[in-house]
Amino acid sequence: MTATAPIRSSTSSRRRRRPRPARWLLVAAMAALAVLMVFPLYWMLVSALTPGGQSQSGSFYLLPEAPTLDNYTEVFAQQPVWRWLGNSVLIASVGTALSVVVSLMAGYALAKYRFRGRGVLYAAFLVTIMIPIQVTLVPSFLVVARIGLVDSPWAVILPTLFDVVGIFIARQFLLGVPDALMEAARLDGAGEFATFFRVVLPSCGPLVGVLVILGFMTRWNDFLWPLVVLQGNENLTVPVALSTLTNNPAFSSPYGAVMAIATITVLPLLVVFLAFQRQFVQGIASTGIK
Amino acid sequence: MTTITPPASEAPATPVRRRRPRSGGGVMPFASGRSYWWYLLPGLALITVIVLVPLVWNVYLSFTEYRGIIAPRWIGLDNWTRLFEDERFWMSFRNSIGMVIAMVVVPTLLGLVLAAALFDVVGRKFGGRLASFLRATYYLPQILPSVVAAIVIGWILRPENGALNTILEAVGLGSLAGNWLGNPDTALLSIMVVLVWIQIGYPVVIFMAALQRVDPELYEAAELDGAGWFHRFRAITLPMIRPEVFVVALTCTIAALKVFGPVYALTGGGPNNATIVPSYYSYQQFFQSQQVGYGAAIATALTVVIVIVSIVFVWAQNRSERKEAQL
Repeated sequence: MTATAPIRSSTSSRRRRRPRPARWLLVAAMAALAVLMVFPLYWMLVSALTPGGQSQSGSFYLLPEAPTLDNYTEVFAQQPVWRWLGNSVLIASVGTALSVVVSLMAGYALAKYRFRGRGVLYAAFLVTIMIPIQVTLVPSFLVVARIGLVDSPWAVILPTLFDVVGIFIARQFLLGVPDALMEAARLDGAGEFATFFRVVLPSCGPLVGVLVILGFMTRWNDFLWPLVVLQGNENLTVPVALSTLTNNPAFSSPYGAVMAIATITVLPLLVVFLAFQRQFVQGIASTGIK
Repeated sequence: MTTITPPASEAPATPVRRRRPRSGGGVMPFASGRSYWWYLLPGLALITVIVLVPLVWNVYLSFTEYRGIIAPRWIGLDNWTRLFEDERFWMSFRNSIGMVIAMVVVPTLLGLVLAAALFDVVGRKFGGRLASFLRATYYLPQILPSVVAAIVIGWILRPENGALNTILEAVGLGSLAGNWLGNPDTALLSIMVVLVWIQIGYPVVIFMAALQRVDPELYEAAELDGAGWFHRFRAITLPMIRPEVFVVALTCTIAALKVFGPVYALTGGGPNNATIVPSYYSYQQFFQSQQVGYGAAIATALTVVIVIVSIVFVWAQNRSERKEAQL
């Protein structure tokens, strides 16, 4: 093993060289940047815990003097916050579950079968990344209105089922699954679908994890389409509800309430992000590598 | 950590068995049969219903006058000629350039420096834990719904007692305080700062993942040879992660041209159209002015611009790759 020598020399050299002042300066600058990045979120929390009147007055706190949950109790009493959360959870989870199935199937066909037009088909899928939602907005809305789905969670779910990024990630992963695995299943007499469901899918745990996390977050954060098809206050998703609340003059302390709901919207995202950071980073990174 | 790794091959040690090729067996064992159509069917059906049909329909609408009640009336190129004379339309694309600066140029350059510093200096001299902690904080705004991010920042930027103005006054810079989003001179810049804040973590994560490919001994060796930080950055880091830089620049440019949520939540295109962008302009025409045909023309124009920009990107990338190969 020729590699041992340089490694040893590198560890000894590391011991010799302690971080120099310039390096400390760099780290300090990067830490300051980190504080700047997190500050708005911190400020959101502080504002949510400060009584609405106070956070609008001239006084300024880096720490709330008397943190209170008043904003939460007020907004939960006045607005159907539980409904909004329920809508968001329903839309994000059903939409993710269905679209992951679609992505896995399409990715499997594109990765593991050889057929005429495969390249063209894959390119056609990828090209849809370019298409802005505005260009499909009105026709989609007309269809949704015609079949009477306005205000229904299905109106939000159905158009998000085609997920190019999901198909891309699934194909990349499935390319790496050895053909021999499927061949062996075949020789054991498994049919096409048995091979897919009993042999291929069980080996795709990490892939499904990444698809679920990314898919759920995109749907939880989705804005424009839900804004268009959801109209009744009871039927909104949380981000849409938040944006209507900021424009609501009837509310005594709109920003205290808005910040309270904002913290609730962000909390599940933070938990998922911190708990699954590795899968998350892998997922993002794998979309960036072609 | 670069890509998700599939399970280790459980392939039998024996050479690939081709003893019993299926009827009409192709090169690959799975080449036979038409069962792949079943796997493609849902995706194909969805792409047709969700993307293709509405897209064509929208292009048709751009040639009509349609106010949402009476059926669309064909008016030929009227919307399109109006578009080219529309001051606001050109303004919206000028603002898109600002969005590209805020979502592509600044984050990519800053992301390169940050990723290299995290990987090359922080990771190696201060430990990987600190590096991944810092990376996580930079990425944090990316996981927020863009509307929530915008609302929170709007709360900080608000003119009366907003956190930013209060802080400025507290440190004696009160003269700089202003109505950030309400003043046409600063509104676009404020939105751009918000977008940089939202966007910066994405290139950092992708570039850092790409740097995992680089052999650390390369850095050690360069350092022993006396190469400074910047030299190592230019000679090792940049060439290694060029493909990722390209992908980030392309996907972020597309996203920048489409940006909607932050503009909607922060300014609604105002004040006085200072922050209007194409996607918001078309939305306005659709749902506020009921000028559906005209909005459809704007949306179609936006799509055409995105497609052209993407083609130019890919073409430039191919060319530089070919040049590289010739060297």
